[in-house]
Amino acid sequence: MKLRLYATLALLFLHAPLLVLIVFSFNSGKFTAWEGFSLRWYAAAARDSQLIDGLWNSLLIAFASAALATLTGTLAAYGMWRKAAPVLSAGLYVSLITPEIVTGVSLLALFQWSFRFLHLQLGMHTVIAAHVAFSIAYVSIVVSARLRGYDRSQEEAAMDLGATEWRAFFRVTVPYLAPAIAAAALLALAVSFDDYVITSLVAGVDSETLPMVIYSMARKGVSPVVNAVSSCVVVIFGALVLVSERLQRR
Amino acid sequence: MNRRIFLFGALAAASCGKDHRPRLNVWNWSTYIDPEMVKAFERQRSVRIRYGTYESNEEMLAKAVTGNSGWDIVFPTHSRLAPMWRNGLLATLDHKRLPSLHNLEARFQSPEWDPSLRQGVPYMWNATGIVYNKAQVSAPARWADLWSPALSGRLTMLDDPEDVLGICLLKLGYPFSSINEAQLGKAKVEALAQKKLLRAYLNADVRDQLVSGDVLAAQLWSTTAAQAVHGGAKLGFIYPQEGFPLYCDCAAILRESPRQELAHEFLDYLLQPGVAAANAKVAETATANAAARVLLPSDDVLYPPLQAMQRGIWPPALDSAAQRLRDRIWTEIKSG
Repeated sequence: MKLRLYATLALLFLHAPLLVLIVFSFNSGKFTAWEGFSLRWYAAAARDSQLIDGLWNSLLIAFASAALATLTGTLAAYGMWRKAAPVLSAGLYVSLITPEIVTGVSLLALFQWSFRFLHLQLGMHTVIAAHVAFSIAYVSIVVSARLRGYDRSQEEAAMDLGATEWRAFFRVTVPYLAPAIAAAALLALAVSFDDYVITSLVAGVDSETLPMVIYSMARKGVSPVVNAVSSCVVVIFGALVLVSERLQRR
Repeated sequence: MNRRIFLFGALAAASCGKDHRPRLNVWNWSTYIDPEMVKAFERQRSVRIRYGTYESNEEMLAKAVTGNSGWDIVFPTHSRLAPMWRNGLLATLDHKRLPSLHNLEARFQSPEWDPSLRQGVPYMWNATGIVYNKAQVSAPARWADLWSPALSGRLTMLDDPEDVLGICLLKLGYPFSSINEAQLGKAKVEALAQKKLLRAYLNADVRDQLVSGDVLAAQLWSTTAAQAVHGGAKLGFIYPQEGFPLYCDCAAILRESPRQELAHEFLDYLLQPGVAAANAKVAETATANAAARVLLPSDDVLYPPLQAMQRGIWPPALDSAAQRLRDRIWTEIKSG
């Protein structure tokens, strides 16, 4: 009974801000005082082409970088597990704990230096590259955790029965890792979607993301339109998490 | 992996290239333009405008300073024009291509920071003053009134070193932008004395607390104050006696821009009275365009009366040593 109360309080503490956000997204007034139910901020958000473009860019970047990072990160984790490479896996943690601003500035320096002979500009491609770079560590760590409980002899058994190494990997190892890969992909999606610091440093003319649009509104005071958009994001990501839970249970 | 990203980048770049209209990349402060006006320009000249927003001068400068940012037009605050100009980041404005410059208010046709108007076209401006709750406190007249114990716990100051140190200096009778160490030391003592009365150092976030009556007085930008004043009739705004800072954001063309001609066309478009008025309405701030102002309702908060305007100060850019000194003092104030 006590435990249940404690859990309820903890959950409330975690999610109360989100509830407040969602409630005020339906407020008819402009300020944080309840005036009545209205959908005007949702309508305003739907008309705001900058927000919509930002949302679209964010989704595009999140899905592209999550796909690339999940692929590379999973293979990296598998390789490190096979070769038992402690230095490499320690390297992953380093990239995980490096402050974002440092990662961002170093990526920017790299891009600016390479642009001298590549004749490119900052844009969508640099943001996706940057997001892949920092998501790989998350993916690898999640997949590595699952690999730790995996017995290589399962793969060997498959190969004894005539499977090639590739076939054994795809038919035995990948299905075993599937829940971890799905979780890692969702994590990559989420970290990419809400990153501001690194993104704002490496973004160019065509790659303004939703967090950047919202952040740029701060000077004038955040408008309730942002509440509406954020509520939609919470619902979309909530649904994604539920779907992945379902998938994992199967 | 690199190759894959590269291919993806090339693909993304290729997919952007399907629109063949000439394009212009405009980077501005958030809610500083009427989106309809952007669309109208796109239709009129059959061009495409990529419109982005930034949050601070620093964010904009960080990209512009590379000389390869991709943006054509940016909107630095007046004090940032000179440093950008010195670093060769700005194109010289060609007045022949800006026939509508005469729409600007007289004081903005030859502003003190850029007398021959070569660096940027004054766009929107705002001031820092005092908002107060008319129902619960008597009208303040001076910055010094913000040291009144009656406001204890229900007073906020901006979370901005330039504005806070500046008004402490004004209260003491020193220049707003003083870089004299002894004067700044005294200003710090003033700020620390006032800090005991403060609820917090807050920027735009204080708006809701003013409307609800939790905060009785605040140092605030006229733009944010106007939103609060229009949201609740019991609020008033004053331009203090000791003087007050003014800030003007200016439309400037980056030298890196390969589209100088189109960029000038866009700046001239922004100077049209109807366009400037629509933009000022969306931005809820004061326009530098006299021809547009007559189209707008009068507003005592956004446009100080002529007499008050004479006390206004346009703070210049500080050199980096002075900036570091001020930043250090500000840190000491906030942590003290």
